[in-house]
Amino acid sequence: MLASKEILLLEDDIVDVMTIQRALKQLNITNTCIVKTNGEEGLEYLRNCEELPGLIFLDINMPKMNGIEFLKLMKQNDNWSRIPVIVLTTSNDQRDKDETFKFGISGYMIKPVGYDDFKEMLSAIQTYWNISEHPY
Amino acid sequence: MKSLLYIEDDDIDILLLRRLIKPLHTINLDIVGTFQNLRQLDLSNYDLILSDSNLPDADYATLMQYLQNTNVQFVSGIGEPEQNVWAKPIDLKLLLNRLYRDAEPQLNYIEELADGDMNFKREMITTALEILPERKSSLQKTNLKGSDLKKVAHKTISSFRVCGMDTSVLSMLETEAVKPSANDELIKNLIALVVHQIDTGIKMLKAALNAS
Repeated sequence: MLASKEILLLEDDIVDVMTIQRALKQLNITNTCIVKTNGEEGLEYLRNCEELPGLIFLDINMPKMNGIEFLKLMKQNDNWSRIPVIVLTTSNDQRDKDETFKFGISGYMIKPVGYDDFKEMLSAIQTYWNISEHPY
Repeated sequence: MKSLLYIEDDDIDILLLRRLIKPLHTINLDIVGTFQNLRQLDLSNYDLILSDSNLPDADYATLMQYLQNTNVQFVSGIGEPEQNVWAKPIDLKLLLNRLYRDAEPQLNYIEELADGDMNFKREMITTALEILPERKSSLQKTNLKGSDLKKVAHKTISSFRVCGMDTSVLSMLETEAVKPSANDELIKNLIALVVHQIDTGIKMLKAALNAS
């Protein structure tokens, strides 16, 4: 189960970061949320962290290294490849879905228009990962 | 999605409008060609009604009276600017402006997010006020095309969503930007509309910040 593992959020948009952190707080999700703003920073974090995060929320469109490039590299690493990754995006582009599912993501969530719906979505993710066994 | 009703009996005019709005995937178009059929419709469902000034079974006066409480725009062969009647074929810029120009921020999203926490509300609005001008300036870069333009449009959607602004134009821009046969004129119009929406958004967010 996710328990108290960290959540790694890869998102470069400050407004989205504030929204997600706020929603996690309102849902009483107390896992520490580490924010990195591109794929390079995400990989750097995975290389240096003491304990691997329990879950990664990944945006696709980021500067320097985008979400798909990040996925490609992290899934090649035996230690990191089992970390569940949930894509959190506004992109409904089928190519993005094809590419990310190809790399074994655990979910592809399109950010809803309303905040309540967004919170409900995060709550469902939390419930799922509290019920499901964790890969490590 | 915006709902558009076109009241028109001429097949060529209908074809031209269909062609005009084909790249605008956020418009749902209904067409009706007679007054008799028009009377069967619930007109409150439409964001905009474009109406020919004459139908086989109704003249301008009848149509004007019947449509007076709707968001109607009359069109005719030659147009009558002094009476605010558009000329055919319908101009894309006029249509886009009419449908999307007034995308004012609705603060419901930020209010729900803040949940009564005024400091957070102010922080969120202040952040949006920092980001929106950056997005505007990115969109106005004249060399921005293709996937670069798509990325900027995509990023702007997040800010718009949180500010409760209509993201339809950005969504159209995102799609059009990477089409192999992208329509430069359409892209130019869409960017101009987004820039206008950002300006309106900034004004209203500043007012909301001052009031909070």
